[in-house]
Amino acid sequence: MSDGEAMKLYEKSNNRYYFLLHELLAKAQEPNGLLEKDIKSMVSERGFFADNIKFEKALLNKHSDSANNLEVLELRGSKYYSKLSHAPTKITLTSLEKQWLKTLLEDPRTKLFLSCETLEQLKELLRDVSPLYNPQNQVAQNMRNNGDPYEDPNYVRKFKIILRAIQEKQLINVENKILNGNTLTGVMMPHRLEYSIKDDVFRVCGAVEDARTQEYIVKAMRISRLSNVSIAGPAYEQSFSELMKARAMATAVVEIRNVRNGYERFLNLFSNYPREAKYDEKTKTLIISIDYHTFDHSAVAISILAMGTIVKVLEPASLREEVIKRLRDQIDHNNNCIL
Amino acid sequence: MQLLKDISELRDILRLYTLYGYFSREDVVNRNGIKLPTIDKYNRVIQNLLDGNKVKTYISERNKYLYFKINYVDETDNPLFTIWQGKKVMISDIRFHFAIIDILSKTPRSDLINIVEKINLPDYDSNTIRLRVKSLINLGVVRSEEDGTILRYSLEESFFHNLCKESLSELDTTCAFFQNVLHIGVLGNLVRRKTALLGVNQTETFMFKHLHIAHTYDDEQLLLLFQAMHDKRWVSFEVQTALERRDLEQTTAKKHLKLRKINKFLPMRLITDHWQGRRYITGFDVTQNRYWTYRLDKIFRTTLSKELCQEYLEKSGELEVHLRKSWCVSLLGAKRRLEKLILHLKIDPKKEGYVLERLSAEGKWGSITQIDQTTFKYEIEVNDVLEMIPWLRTFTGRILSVEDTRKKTAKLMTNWQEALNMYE
Repeated sequence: MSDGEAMKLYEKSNNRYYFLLHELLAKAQEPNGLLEKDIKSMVSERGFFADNIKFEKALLNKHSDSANNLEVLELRGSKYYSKLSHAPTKITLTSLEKQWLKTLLEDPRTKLFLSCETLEQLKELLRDVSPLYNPQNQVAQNMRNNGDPYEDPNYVRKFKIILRAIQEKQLINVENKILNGNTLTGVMMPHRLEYSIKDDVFRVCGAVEDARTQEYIVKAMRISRLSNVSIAGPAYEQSFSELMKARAMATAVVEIRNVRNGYERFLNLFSNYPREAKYDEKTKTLIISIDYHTFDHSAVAISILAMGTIVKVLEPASLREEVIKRLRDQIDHNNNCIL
Repeated sequence: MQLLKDISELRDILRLYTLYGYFSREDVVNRNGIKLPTIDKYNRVIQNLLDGNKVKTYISERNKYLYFKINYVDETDNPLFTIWQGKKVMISDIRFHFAIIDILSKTPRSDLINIVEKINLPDYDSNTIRLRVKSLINLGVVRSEEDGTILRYSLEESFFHNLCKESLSELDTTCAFFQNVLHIGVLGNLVRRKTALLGVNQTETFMFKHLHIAHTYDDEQLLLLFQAMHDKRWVSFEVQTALERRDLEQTTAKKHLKLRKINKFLPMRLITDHWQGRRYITGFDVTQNRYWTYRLDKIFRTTLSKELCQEYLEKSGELEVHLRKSWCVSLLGAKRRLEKLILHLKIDPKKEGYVLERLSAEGKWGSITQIDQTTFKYEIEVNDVLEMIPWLRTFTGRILSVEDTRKKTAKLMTNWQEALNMYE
């Protein structure tokens, strides 16, 4: 980074057809080759739909003007073979990608994912690279100050067990300390590691079987509060992801008034939730439906209260009731308390 | 190809569709001053970039609105990263890219004449090929070395060359996480595309809370600003002017967009508001002769100046003083006076310890004192109390009293009755 020459992110080499071609050429090496239908299916799956036909024609050298053909494949018999010796082992990183990785290596959370050997190896590979940005130029606001203890070896151990269980689709035994000091134990089907950027904490999100009803209850448990975790075995239900999606999501519908640029403020605050907004031209109001995890119910209620009088909850009743209850409690305090 | 050479024109429109979701083509024309055929072309490009099925429309009264339906709750990758994979390329670009790499992988230390001979395309002169080789050098894929008066070119050794399968898999998981946590995360996403080519089995491992996926649109501007911060370099850019607030009925974002030129600015800090999802650039504005903050999504056409700032350290120290007691982005006023806020809350520490914990974790440098069994006093001095109001409202239902030196919180108490009236 010097001389004031501007760096670019929007680069031709990031175009997805380059990646597609790398993959295709590796598969089209001797002795395998590729059938035309396989090539077409790869292009339609990984390319841009409006440009695929043109690209496909160039790839299969079917333009009458050879300058418009890619000339990287040749047809022998019924299959196409690569004309290049180029294989994916030649893939390397751009200077910007290396700089980004260098920034990453300076983050304490890296130890959660990388073994000491890999970390050292990457540090050596990036020894002469400068980071993309300096953490001293960053100010993070509205974050909690009690994030997870990434330096604690016990935390790292628990984290790595859960990470492995998710990636290898294994069950885990979890021991969770609750407020009264008792310990709850159970078997969990872990689904995802949920990271809250604002709170800087990881939760393991998954399903625990209820002993009485034999039904799965979706839970998110903070890793730092688990007293122990161990692998329980591979009896993982493959249909679990679907079940998880069905059980864990709720939809809130709210009406927004555009006071003090309210639309923009609300939509920014809720931009981390999948949502749909519909503008009613007659009433000049905006109706927004927001999808959220059921275990985030309180967080959604709190964010709605933070927006004050510009937002009204229409659905679901539970969220509406919670907002009304908090407003009533507040007005009771206003009336009763004079400090 | 139905792709663009430059994405900056699309950036504002993409943001409107992602964030607001109720913009018609006429609204965009009105706001951005673009002609109707152009916006139709852009809409087609956007559909192509986002794989069509994410772009939806609905019709209400007279207008047809465009919006994105993106379900990213369960996805590890930000679905908007695909926009960076869509720079317009010519077939010849791709052809030269692969041909040059192939030649250099077979015969390292080739000079330009060797490469031209082997490419063997009559329509292209050596100068064109020299430029193509140069762009590969800029990308870090090819390196050059001097051999007397001749420049010889070889492929850079693959970054992944010495990494075993397990290390590659660990690197991939690391990038899967950090692509949504570090700035300019699309670079991590591109690394993942490369590890996928090397055969790494990619699993869906993470999901993210408080992830603002539309931030990626601003990352090219941010890259330039990071570069300027690194070099301690002055920049110029254009900003969208402040929104008018008179019109309460129509959305203010639909008003005609105006750009104002900022001629000389020293970017020094990136402030990220992780809750409300905004990012800001703070630094020294020469025209105003003071420290100032601009929202990153409002910054367009950043240009790096050749001039470096000679008194950067001094300015950085002064800015630190401004930011020390800033709740979010407000800097100290001309009189440099702090504002004091006192909040009394009703919390039962035995049953509601989590509220107390939140107050402590989110309350920054404020102090907490227990007054009696269920009453707690929170005190803080900040640059501007107004910035705290959304956070104060998150304690609705527990606030016994709130007061501040400039009476900025006075309206809070009446607001709650207004809010309740909406439901009754």
